[in-house]
Amino acid sequence: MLSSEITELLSAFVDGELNQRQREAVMRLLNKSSEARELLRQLQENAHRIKQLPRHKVEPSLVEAVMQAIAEQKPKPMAAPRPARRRWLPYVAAGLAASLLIGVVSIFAWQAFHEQENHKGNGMPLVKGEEKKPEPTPTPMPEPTPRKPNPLLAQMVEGTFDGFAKLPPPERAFSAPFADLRSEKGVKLADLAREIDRTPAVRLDVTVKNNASAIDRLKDALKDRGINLVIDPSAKKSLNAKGQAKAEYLVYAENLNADELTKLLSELGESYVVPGTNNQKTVESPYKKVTLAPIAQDDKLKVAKLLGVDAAAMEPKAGAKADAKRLAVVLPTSAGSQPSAEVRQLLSQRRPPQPGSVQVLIKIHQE
Amino acid sequence: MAQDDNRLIAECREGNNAAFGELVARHQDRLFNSVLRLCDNAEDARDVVQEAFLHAYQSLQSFKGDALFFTWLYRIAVNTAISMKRKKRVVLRIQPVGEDGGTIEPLDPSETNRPGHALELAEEERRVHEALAKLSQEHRAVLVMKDMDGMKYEEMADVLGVPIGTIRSRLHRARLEMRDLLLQQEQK
Repeated sequence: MLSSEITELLSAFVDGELNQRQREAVMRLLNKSSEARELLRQLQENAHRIKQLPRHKVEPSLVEAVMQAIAEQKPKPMAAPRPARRRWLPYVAAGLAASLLIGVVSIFAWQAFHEQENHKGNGMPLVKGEEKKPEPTPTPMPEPTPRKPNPLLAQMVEGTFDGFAKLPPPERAFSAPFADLRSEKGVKLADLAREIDRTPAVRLDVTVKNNASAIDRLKDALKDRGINLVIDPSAKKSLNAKGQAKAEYLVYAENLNADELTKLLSELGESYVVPGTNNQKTVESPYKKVTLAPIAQDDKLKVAKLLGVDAAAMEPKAGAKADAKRLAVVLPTSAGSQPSAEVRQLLSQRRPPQPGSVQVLIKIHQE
Repeated sequence: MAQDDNRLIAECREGNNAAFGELVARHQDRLFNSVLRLCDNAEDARDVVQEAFLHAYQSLQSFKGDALFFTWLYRIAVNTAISMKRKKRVVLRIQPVGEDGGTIEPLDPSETNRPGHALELAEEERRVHEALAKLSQEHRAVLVMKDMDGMKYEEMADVLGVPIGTIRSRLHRARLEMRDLLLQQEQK
């Protein structure tokens, strides 16, 4: 009886979606197991039967029907392009709230002061230098009722009042365990998608169980998306060194789309299958936690320096070479005099960040 | 192809509806054949494809061009097919394709020249279509996208809005289920 992991591997083999190592594992398996060979034959044959299903022509053509339906339904006018996101709105709201707060506090403070003076001396504040007039014959006054302190004013004075809009944090940060980003659990997946969607250049601070396996896993996940992750030799050397646990690795990728990056992060939180010598095994994800924030200008400058490119080359620019590749690189551990041959080759095929795409800088470090 | 699509989309956005007609003409057959395998019969497939084109027309402004127009259209059609299926909630009505009034014709009539070949083809199509129809919508969709349309996991994930890992495991379960269904048919 073949295990579920094996049958899944065979299914992915039929799909032509295995990497080199996995394909080799399948070939070894097929050499040994007649049951695996039989299942593979059946799966391939069935895939072929679906592929061979006859193609039909739509008769009569749908063009007329669709155009008539468009005309009849008086379709909604083309939606106007969505206005640019009003990122200034929270700041303006916070400013107005702060002004209101100052105004309210001033009014209360003035009233409190005025009342106090009334109690002290007939309601007229003393002007500096003015002499106090002799008091007239005192007339019996009713005992003043002690003023009930205004609780809101007290909170404002103490600084504990939180009824007004809080000022937005200077830098938005989203944080979640990778386990919460998985497709099945996904409690934070929608939040992540929203954050990525609104941030054209994101920095991800990622905690992992093991640096080397995390980068291996990332390489495979990027490869599934047609992106080759180039590892700078200095980073490779560091990953193989004994003290790699203490090092931090920077991965830079560009020209991803927001949806793609969300799915990539979701997938990194999931366990995955690796081929073993005799059997494949399911491995727990090394990815633990991610914190997302916009890339700071300093980060961009650092990436540009490590890549050996001009800082302007980090900014989005329309247009791409015909044979351009998407860039993903584990950056050198330090800025050398010249980038490595691997990085230079990648840069020569690079296309600049396209407007509307996402740039991502991932800082990977062990927990 | 993609460049032509982009040109037609641009013209359509400028108010030239005829350009959209051209887009329909270019993609209707390919889309219809995929949708046909997600629906129970040609009539439903036709409705789904027509509805998908209408949705596409009305949402054309939101098409960003970061995917191919066909992929975007395909996504609309798959979602329309799944939602139509949920709405109808009827017992599967397996109708051999092409027997609903002769409204569809094979793309390549020359294949039907050999006597008996057409019958064999129709019978094989009926068997495979019947097995596909017994799968859940999710399993059916991934098999059609992979085996009929030759999509990569990444494209499928994009169309269905799920991670690649989910596509892989759905395909795995769908393939095993399909194998069991076809084996059962042979044993009958």
